[in-house]
Parts: sequence; structure tokens; C-alpha cells
Amino acid sequence: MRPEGRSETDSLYFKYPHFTAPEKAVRDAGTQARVAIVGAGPVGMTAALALAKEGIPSIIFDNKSTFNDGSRAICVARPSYYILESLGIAAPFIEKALGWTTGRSFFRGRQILEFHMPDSEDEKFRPMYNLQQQFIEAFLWQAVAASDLIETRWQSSVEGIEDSESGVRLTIKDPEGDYTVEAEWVLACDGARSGIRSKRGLRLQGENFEGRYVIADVQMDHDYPTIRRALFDPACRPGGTVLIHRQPDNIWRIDYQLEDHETTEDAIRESTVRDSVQAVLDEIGHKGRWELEWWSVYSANTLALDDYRDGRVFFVGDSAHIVPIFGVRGLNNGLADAANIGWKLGWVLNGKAGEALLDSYSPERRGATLDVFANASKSARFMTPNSHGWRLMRDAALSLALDHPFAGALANPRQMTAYTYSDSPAVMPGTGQFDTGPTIGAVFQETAVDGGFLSEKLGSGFTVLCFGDDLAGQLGASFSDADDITIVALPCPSPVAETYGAEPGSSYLIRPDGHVAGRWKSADAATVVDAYRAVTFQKGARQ
Amino acid sequence: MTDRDIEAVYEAIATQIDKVGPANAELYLAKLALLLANEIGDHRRALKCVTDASASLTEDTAPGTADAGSHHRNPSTAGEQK
Repeated sequence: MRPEGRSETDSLYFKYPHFTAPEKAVRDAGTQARVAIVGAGPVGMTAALALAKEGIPSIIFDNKSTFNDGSRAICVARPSYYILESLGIAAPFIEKALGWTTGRSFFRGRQILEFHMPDSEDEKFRPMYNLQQQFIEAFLWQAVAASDLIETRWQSSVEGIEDSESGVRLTIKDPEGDYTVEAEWVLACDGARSGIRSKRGLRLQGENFEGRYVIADVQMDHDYPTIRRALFDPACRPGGTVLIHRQPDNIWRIDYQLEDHETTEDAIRESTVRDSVQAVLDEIGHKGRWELEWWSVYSANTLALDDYRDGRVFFVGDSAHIVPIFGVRGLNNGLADAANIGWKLGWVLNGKAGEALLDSYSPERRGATLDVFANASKSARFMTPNSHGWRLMRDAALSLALDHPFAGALANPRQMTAYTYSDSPAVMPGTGQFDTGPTIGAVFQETAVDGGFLSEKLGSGFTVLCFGDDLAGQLGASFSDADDITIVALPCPSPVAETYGAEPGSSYLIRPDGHVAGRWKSADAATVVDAYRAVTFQKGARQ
Repeated sequence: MTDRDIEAVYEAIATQIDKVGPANAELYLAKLALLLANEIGDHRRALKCVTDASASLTEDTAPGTADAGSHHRNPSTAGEQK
């Protein structure tokens, strides 16, 4: 919401574009889609770009005429930067976003803890970046609009969806009227209130939590570094928790929990929001002017579909799961979903993989969601305890944290890390016989190498990391031209070999999304090639 | 730890509870519990203490009205307390 007299897209710092509906002749000519993507938010656009990277065309449908209103999700985690980089679009994000590593916690007005998220010279990206969602959408849109393979139809809502002989028939409504599109596959990226989900008769399962929270963005000249502040039991909201984040363009995010006696209706009234924000700014010593930019209210939920696939329809992002805000996993997991289904569907449609690869999407990404639920629920209970016992122990831990590091660890938020796809059909079984290094299913470990980073050596398809020179030569002769594989020879012994627990002759097979598909302490070329064929479900591969 | 040692701890806790005052006593005891658990360095023993401490705190023996010392506590039923 925005202050009285300003429309939903009347921002202090961002100019929302206006997108027109497709011309009738254009959309009448395009009634076939290899992939129809419903929703042009961050998830839908990322999925389209991931498909385009594999040469697969798509049509995106969105019922709006511009981006989503307001700053919404503002924290982009390190794993998401790898997704953006793999799509070749990380540059504007790096330039605009504010990277950060540090958080400070205050208990009753006193700083009791400063934590640092894992970061080092071996990391290419910072653990977290703050960037308003409309910039995220704008930067993705630059790439979508520039792609010959992606057509976006704004002001076009999906009114009907039914299975047809060749795939899925969508009924689209735009200002010119209704028409149908035959799609081979559909990606439902239409958000928490997914219309596709309800039209398919599917329901999210899980819990609705009681907690309600207001997020308000203000523009102000405020001198504080990009450090996340958490105020526990502050004078401005006794018993509550307040979070403060810095964003680009002098925008600051204030996030506070509502007490039981505060009605949602009253809490989102402009005058109430202004009073609440002023109280927080008084507490942190901001004396200058500030402008109210935008605010919203949300509640914490842990809800997910039992299966992210329904025939030829895949649910991606919030349409498949709604996660609590703590730990910045909504947007980031949505992007991971989009990247996951994007490369898999792309590989199946361009013939590099068998269709069974698609069956790994739901178990991998639903597993990630359940992991998020476990971590975010713990974070939520710490950040906003909902009973006397949880609040007392939280306060005890905070009160001890100043002098006792063990208690501070209880207050350290669980950071978003990439989920490990163990037991997935799209990785080899087991963990590999290694003492260290990323396990099978885990994301590869970034390492500084040759004046750059290991991630820069990875190919756009699968990559084999070969430690020592002998194996690399044999592998080069063992793969065929049809295989999308990059062979990277790495010195051994070396720091990178140490990180990977590798000996001369060791090997890691890395998927296009950076997850380890297999690893061998002492590899031979045939084993690696067989593994590549198995996890891409090629005909004749040993499963 | 001798009887005399535990008595010294008992007295010290009583003194501290009075010193921090009624408003902070509960928080003080929660901090103390976390600190002691960390000092034990054995989460199973700490978790057993967490359960054991709730024995004899049923509704009909509200804290402050029952003379805890006169009740014979059977450790085997501690886990069944609400």
C-alpha cells in the first residue's frame, strides 16, 4: 500500500513501466507454445531465461500491465547469484544491490551480538544482497525482452486450463477477448494465490501460523552501514521484534510483528504505520525527515503442494509453496525452483536428456521446501516467539549472548544455503568415498583458483572436474559430440584439490545447476560417462 | 560434590533470586539453566534434568504451597508429568 494520494505504482524512486496487451494479429498467429509460463514475476522470467539458454522458446502470460507493486522480497542470497550468473545476467544485480555479511542484534536497546555470515577470499559472491523486488523484476525483464525465444503477453490472464491430446489447452483472456493456446508444457509461476493451482483442483497443505507482520519502506538520509539490525524487546514495541534493512536508493525496510490486540485493519492504516515507524526511528536515533514509500502486511505460513507436478503442469515458486519470511527463502527458493525445472525441461525438449529427468523436479525442490520449513519455523520461533516459554528462553539466550558465545549461536539466524539433493533420481546414489568436499547432491564448493573462481571454469552443461591431467585426456576421448559436457583439469595437489578431498585421478561430475551428480576418489573414464548418461536418463543408460 | 557444596549453590541461587528481584527472577533462572546445561557439556543429561525439574509441579501442588521436601519423588514417573 502507499500513502493517500499515490497510486500503487507511484513510487518515490522507481518508475513502473506500462506494458500493453499483445496486438490481436500477433497473438492470433501464436496459438502454439512449447512451454507456456503463467506469471511474469521473478520466478516466471527466470524459468523462461533458463529455457531460452537451452534454446527452448516460451510464451509468458501475465494479467498485469506492469511489475509487481512494492519492494516485497529484498534479500537475494548467494545461491541466487549463481543462478543469475549462469543465465548471463548477474551484472546489473551486482552493480545495484547492496552486499552484506553482518547482522547486529539488540536486546532491550543494548547491542548484544554481532554475527558474520560465512564469507572469504574463496567466495565470488557475498552471502546476501539487498535489492528491491521491482529492480529484480526490471533486470530480469531486460533480459527477457531482449531474448528472441521469449514472448511475453501482458494483460493476458489464464481463464481455463485443460489437458489435451498434445499437451495442455489454455484459455487466455485479454482486452481483445478470449482465445486458446495449445502448450506442450505449462509452468505455473503465478504466485501464492495461484489461479492455475485452484483450476487444477490442488490445495496447499500445511500450517498457517498466527503471527502477522507489517513491512514498511521509508526513504531517508540515515547513516548506517548495510548491516541487518534486529531489535528484540525494544522500547518502541515491548515484547516484539523489529528488523531494519538498508536497500539501494536511500530506502530502509522496517519489519515489525503485530501484537494480538492490534487488528490487521488498524495496523495497515497509514496513520498507524507512520506512528509505528516513527517509534522505531526514535529508538534507533534517527532525527531527520523521512518519507513513507510503501507498506504491506503478511503472515507466516508453511504450506506446500504434495507434488509439484500435475501431468504436464509444473508448479514453480510460491504457487507450489508458501514459506515464512525469516531466512529470505521465498524469492530465493522460487528462483532455485525456476532454475531447476528450467534446465531439466530444456534438456528434455532439446533432446539432451530423457523425459524421466522431469520426475526429479518435485522430489528435489519439495525436499528443499520441507528443509526451509524446518529452519524457518525455528527462526520464526526465535524472532517472534508465540508463547511465554519460547519468549522466556529466547530472552535468556539474548541476555546471555553478550558474554557467552554459545548463547549467541542460538540467536544467529540460519542462513539460506543451497539444499542437498541426496536420494534424488538425478544424482548418483551414495555420497562418494571422500573425507571432505561437497557430497553427492550438494552444490559445488566455490574456490579461488588461477586468479579467478572455480565457478568461472564450469561449463553451461555438465562439467567434469578432473584432478591431475591423466583422466582429463581419457575423458575427452570418451564423450561424444552430442554430450553437453565441459572437462576441467585441475592441478593435484593444490588448494582446490584439498577443498575437494581429491587425489590424483579423483573426479566430480557437476550438473548444469551446480549440484554434484557424482564423485569418485579414483575415477575411470567409462564410469564418469556412464554416470552422465544415467543422471540425464539417456536411452540405454544404466539406471 | 559434597552435601555442603550443593548447599552453598542452593544458598547462592536463593540469594541471587532475591537480589535480581521478582521481575527478573524467571529470566534469571532461565539464563542459569542454559549456563549450567552448557557447563555440563552433555545434552542427554541436561535434557533429563529439564524433565526431572518439572516433577511435583502439578496443579494441586502449586509452587509455594507445597513443601517439596516432604514429597517422595519417584524419578521413574518424572517423564509422565504434564
